[in-house]
Amino acid sequence: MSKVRYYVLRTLQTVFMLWLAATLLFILFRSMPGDFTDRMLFAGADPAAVEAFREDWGLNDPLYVQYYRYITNLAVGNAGVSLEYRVPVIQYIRMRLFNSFILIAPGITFAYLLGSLYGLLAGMKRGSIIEKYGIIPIIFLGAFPSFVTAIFLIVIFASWLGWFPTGGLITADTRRLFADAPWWRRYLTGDFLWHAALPFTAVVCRYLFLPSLIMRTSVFEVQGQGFIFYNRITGLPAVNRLRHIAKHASLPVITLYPVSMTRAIGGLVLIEIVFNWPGIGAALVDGVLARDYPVVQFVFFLIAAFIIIANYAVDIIYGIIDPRIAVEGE
Amino acid sequence: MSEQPILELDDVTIQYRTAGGMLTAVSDASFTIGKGEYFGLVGESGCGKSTIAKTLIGALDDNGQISSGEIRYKGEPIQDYTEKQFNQELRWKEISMIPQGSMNNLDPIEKISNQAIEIAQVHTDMTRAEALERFEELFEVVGIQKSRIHDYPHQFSGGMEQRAIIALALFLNPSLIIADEPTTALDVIMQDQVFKYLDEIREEGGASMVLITHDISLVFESCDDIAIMHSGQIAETGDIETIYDDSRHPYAFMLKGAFPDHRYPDRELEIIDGYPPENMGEVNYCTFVDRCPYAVDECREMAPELEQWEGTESDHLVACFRSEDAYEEHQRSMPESDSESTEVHGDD
Amino acid sequence: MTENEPVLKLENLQKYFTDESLKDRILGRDVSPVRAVDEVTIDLYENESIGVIGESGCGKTTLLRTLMGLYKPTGGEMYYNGEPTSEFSKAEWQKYRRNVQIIFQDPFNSLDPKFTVRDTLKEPLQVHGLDNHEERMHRVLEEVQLNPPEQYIDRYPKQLSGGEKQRVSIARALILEPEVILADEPVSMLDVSTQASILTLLSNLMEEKGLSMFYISHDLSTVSYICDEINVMYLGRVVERSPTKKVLREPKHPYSQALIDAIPVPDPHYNRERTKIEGAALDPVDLGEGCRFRDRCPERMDICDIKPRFVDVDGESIASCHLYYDHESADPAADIDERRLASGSTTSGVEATGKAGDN
Repeated sequence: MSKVRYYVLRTLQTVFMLWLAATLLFILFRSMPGDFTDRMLFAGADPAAVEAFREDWGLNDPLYVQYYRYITNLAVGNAGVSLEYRVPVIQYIRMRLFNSFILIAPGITFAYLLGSLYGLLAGMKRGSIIEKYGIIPIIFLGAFPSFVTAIFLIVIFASWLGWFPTGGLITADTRRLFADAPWWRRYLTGDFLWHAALPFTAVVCRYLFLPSLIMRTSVFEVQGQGFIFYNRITGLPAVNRLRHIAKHASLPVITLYPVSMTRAIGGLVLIEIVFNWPGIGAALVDGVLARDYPVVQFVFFLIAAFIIIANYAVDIIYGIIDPRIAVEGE
Repeated sequence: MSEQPILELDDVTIQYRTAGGMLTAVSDASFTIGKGEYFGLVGESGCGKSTIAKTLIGALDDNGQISSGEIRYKGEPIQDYTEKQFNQELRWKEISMIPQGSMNNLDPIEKISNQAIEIAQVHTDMTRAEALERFEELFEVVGIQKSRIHDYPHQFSGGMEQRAIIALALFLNPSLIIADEPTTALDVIMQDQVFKYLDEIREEGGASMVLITHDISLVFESCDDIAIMHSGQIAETGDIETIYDDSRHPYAFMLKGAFPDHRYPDRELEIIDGYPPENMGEVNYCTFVDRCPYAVDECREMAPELEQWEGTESDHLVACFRSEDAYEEHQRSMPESDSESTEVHGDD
Repeated sequence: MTENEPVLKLENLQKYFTDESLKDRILGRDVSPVRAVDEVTIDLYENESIGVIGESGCGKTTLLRTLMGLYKPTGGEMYYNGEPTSEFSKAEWQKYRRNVQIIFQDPFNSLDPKFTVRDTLKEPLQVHGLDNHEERMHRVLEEVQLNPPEQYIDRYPKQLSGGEKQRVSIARALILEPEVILADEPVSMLDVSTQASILTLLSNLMEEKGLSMFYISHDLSTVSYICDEINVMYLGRVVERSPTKKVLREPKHPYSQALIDAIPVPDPHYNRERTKIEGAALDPVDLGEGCRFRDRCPERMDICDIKPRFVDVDGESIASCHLYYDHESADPAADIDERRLASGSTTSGVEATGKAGDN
């Protein structure tokens, strides 16, 4: 099978998976008891008004009509309107998604860089103190629930030392200052970095152990391979040999990187809540509490889509960095 | 040999630190390899031949050490060389190696040409283009299309990868090539193809070679001299004709007899009972003693030294107290099998 | 079983592997199968030992696994004492597996490191519900010359040398008193000093017990100590069948010749020429119907694009090669197997040559 053919098939497969995820979410949400209107009734709304609302929003239409509407709208980038806020879901989610991303992407990336480096070091010095005991604090940090780490960070660095704020994205002053500037301007401030420092650290602490452990094990395995001995006897200096080892050992880490990234986007709800960070996790919690189905459904879809697309990206990247992969498809 | 030898080993003992003490892998080994000479080192698994190979290129395992003796390369003692000295002075420009195991010596995610360029840039002033040109030439020498230097290792069959490894061993024109079981993983036809190229290198007279193998027939076909090792000790060494016609160490002639020769399918194969011992600490006995039908008490009390066998004029060294009597006893015990079986495969 | 019925009979046995993925199926693509074993016909009689020789990738391992019942043949038939195995019931397979035992190549991996010799030998006895365990185990250990048995029976594999391990493997195969032994290169991992003793042991046991043996190997120089007859395999097909000594002395098929000429000779006075064969064997995919060896064959002719017939060359050797029959007046008596004729149209050599020339 040619490389092009492989990429085309892999792309079609990805599109299919996205459709499947969207469909399953639709089925799941329609089969759950209770919806937004129940909450309206519960809150004391007039049943007739509620019925009018249902009619108005198409909630009384047959499911296949709803499904058709849902899937075609999704395909053109319309995820409906938030029942709670009465604004288009995409518009509501967009900024929050960006907030999550700007916290998680640098956090995970930094965790992977640091962890890989640490794992490489530990793996190369097998039997040393750093290899035997150095990994323990990192696992300890990773094993902690993320909100506990977050609370500790707030207690120590915000309340006690007072170096950083306890939460939020920017101060009200900054918000006012850049009220008329483009939306991205507020992220290019010291104030934002000052707010981001602690949540960023929490994300790094949570994810550092994974690349460290994988890299360490991977370095062990690579060192047993024949070409390591061959590189030594051909007289390559230590730096060159380390480069070969690092390139090999990082293959499994690279596979995990996008997976961690996407998992973090849905999985760091608690960090966002503790730091009062207006991200997608916080939006999900709000949405669930409000039975705001369009929002919740879209957030779930986004998370699923991230994972599907991340895996797609990994396969494509892997095919480029590891020439053996393409051959297996041949 | 009047010329300066390429390699001399003088009473070299190599040991590994293990949980049970010092394991002696090679014990008082001595041999000399002249310029352009192909030298075969033969023995069963665990006899120490691969340890010698690794030692010569400075790549002993971390728990290994040269405990005594001297290794001279072109007259220069190298047994105490550091990793850095090996890298700067010996590896690949002077001594190269064809390691055991054909399939995984090359980095699987790096083009073969890039691996060659890396070696060239570390050791020489060659430019990329010069390195590629030289490597292309060598690919043609070993019978691979030169366009294939840019392939990845997995695109090669086992035989091709092994030939690429040979091309790499020749890459910087070394004076000594150490070939450690270079064809063990290959089928016979492929093995013969590989040796065809090794023969050509020998005819050009450029490099000397240590051929390390369990297969005595490869050495008899391709080498000038041979040393037969048993469990860390060199039993006998000399030129191949002498060792074939007139070997004196019981292990040497029994090993020879154990090798099947397809020309004589009826010849009975010699059986050597028992298995080689693990030698801990100082080895002050003949390591073959428990398997040797001709052993006497003396063999357990002292390690025999390699001594010139008087019957031959060339260098023919035997390490056995019983070499004279054992040989005669062995000759008497053998049925005259050679005259009985007819040669079935004439010289062609 | 009648006097002249083979214990095992392979008739046009075929094992193709189709590496067809779901995607291929969706796209409706035809994937050419790997013809690992392609129409192999071999008869194994009582107390006979037959060798199958070939390089890695020639299909000998697939053949062995098919014989063990691990693979289902994709064509042809395998008969055990005259009964077609394709119609075997579960009980009949159980009986087959008891009577057909295997000795593996690698004694270092084929024994469980946590099993003592006793555990290793007991397992098959329990599986097949036999009694008198101790007596059987002692007897079989004596037979493989692990004497005295008491000294070996409680040892773990790591306490045994390579040769002793292989003796245990042989004992494990023999303890069920089988009719047929399948031996997969049983000496190739052993040092030469122990090779001979295992070969001698095997050939003595065969004679004493009247066993039949399929011996699979890449090593022609040891096979003569075991086998009466050799089948040389190349890319899934048997290309020559001859008595062992005959094939060593006078190989008929150009591939057999190449194989034997490439064996190193342990004699410095003997001047053997290096092989003239270039390149390596391909995978047995999409090779067309012609002779599998044609691309590397020094004797290559136009007609080699047609599948060669099996021809009785001289009353002893049978070879599947166009060199050995006259294509002008094909003598039907020389045909070993009519079905091997290239399908229909190309019965005459003249026609065939013409056709090949047109391509």
